[in-house]
Amino acid sequence: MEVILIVLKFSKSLCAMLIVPALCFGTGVSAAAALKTTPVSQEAVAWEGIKSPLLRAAQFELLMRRPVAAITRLLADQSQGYFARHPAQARLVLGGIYLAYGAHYKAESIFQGLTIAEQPQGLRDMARYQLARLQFQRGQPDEALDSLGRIDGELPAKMQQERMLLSSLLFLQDDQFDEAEDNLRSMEHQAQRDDSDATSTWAAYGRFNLGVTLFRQGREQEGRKLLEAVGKMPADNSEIRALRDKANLTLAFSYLGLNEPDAAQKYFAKTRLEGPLSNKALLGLGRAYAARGEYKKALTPWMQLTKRDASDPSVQDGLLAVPFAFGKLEALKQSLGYYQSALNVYQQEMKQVHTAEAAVNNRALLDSLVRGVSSEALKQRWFLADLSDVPGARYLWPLFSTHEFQETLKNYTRIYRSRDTLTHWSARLGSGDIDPQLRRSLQDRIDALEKKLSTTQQRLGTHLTQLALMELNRRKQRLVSYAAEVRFSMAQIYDYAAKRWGGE
Amino acid sequence: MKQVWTRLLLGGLCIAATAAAASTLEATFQQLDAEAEKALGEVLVLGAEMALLEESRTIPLNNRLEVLVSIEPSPFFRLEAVQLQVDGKTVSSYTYTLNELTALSSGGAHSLFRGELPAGRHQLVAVLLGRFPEDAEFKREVAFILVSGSGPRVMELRVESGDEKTPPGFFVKEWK
Repeated sequence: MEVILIVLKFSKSLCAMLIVPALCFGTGVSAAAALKTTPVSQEAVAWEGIKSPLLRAAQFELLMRRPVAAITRLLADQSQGYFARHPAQARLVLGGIYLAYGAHYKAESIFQGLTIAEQPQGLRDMARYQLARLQFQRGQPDEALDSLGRIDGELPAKMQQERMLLSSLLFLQDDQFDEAEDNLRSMEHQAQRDDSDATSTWAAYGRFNLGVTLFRQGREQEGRKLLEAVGKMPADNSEIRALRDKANLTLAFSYLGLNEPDAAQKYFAKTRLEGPLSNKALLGLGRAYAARGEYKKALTPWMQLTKRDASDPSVQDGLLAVPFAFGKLEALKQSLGYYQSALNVYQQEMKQVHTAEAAVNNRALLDSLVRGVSSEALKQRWFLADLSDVPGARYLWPLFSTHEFQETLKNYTRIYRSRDTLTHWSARLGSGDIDPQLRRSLQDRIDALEKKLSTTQQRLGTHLTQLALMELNRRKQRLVSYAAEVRFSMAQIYDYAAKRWGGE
Repeated sequence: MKQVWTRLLLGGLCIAATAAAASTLEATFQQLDAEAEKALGEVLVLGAEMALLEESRTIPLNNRLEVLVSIEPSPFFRLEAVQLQVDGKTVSSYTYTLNELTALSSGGAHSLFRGELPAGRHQLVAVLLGRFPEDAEFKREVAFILVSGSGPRVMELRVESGDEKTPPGFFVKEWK
């Protein structure tokens, strides 16, 4: 069994952390797809050395989470020639703000224009770094490595750390393990030199990734040593606690794969029972007991697991594992009873999935999502927080956490709101003392833009609907398979009983 | 029966998504993302033009003045408010929130005033209010003369950190 668990960290402030769980339950996304979702924060601009107060006024707006105001301000000042003395620096800042806003293509064209030899080296390097991040996000690892390779000097401290982590992830993706290892070790040394909390959190991510890298290289002992160190780290923040869980879970599943259930059990037990990975840990702990033939003990974590939210795939696995254990204990009546319960739960879940499907088809889901996204939340990367009122939302959580869904929904919501803004501008044009020709020209642009926004919004809505329906379809298929397994196992039990006791 | 148990436990129950459909959706996503971004970019540009139009209607370019506040972070001084007076009349007064102070400490500059300064000679006074260990009601003023009417002016009010005993400096600088 292959164990891959990659954690990617780019911005502490945004808890920007991604996991690629390719454990043994087959529900994880591919590493390449997940790695594309590198978060970008307002830290997209390296502000060190930027002195112009007008540029720093844009920074202020960005720090206050008002990227549109920052961009509008910069564009307006730029068009009035305020940055004539340092146009390239202004463009770099503008590119960074576009990036923070999520306008990747616009940012890319600005950064591309700044990588030419005529630009000062420091500025060129920063533009290349930003390009590399964008290329990484878009799943263009070769281009990203090329951009990173063209950086000639040292970047500002924070960017330099991100650059090293990005390089190591790209090397890791490209199976260049030694290079990845070199980068991660450098990060670790840097953390020791700096002795700062932020750097040590970075180093913890680095150490974790290095551990996984070594594992994949077949250097299990070294990998395990690093993961063990991460799993034992003193945790004074939620990021480190989550990372510690991931390290312990990775180790546990690796030992389970090696058929060493004692060691696996030790690491499963170290994973928190209430954290985001706790369902996987409970399922795994039961498996560790079962591997030793201790089915009675296995029932404890598995029974605990089945009391949790049945929309979670680990819980659904647990619903099958419980009657399996009873079967192994020759308690066939209980086994049959729990199979029947599992079947009921799967049928109930199927009904809920159908309800969610109806909500998606009649756009009720999309309407709820758009209503639920506040202006403040839209400025965050992970902006979907409370979805308790959204019908069927719990089945779509895995989808909601994907880069594709989040970005599409963000675009949909922004366009929806921009159309209101256009209406407002149109009203303003009608009320002021404006040159008639200019007014006509602006009104024509507003009309054309409204048409374009309306078409794009419709297409985005269709795309979101398709994504949701695909996810729900996966759910349905999974439940159908589970139900088939249950019926098959129940038939096996009846068959076994008939042979043994003559058809009782 | 053992076979069944083993299959149940280790089967994985993986449901493979149809790769072709996923790939088509991915391509659609890239295309839609670019399309939406382009349209939203046009909204931003139009927004900047609308803002400029609004500004040009109310503030003639030659008489335009912008005054910005920036600080050098200091553990000994907490900025509370800045006031700007033109010819003895207060034109702007701003009290900073904690979030805004954090943005300022991170290098941002706050636009205290952006407006018209009628052509001619004016006396400007900026008043800084804050807390300092030895003076809970710390106040500093900086006065300067500006001749308006020959083009837009950008002035920075900079609060420079002192230490436990030395109060922060308060300076004005013109940017061209």
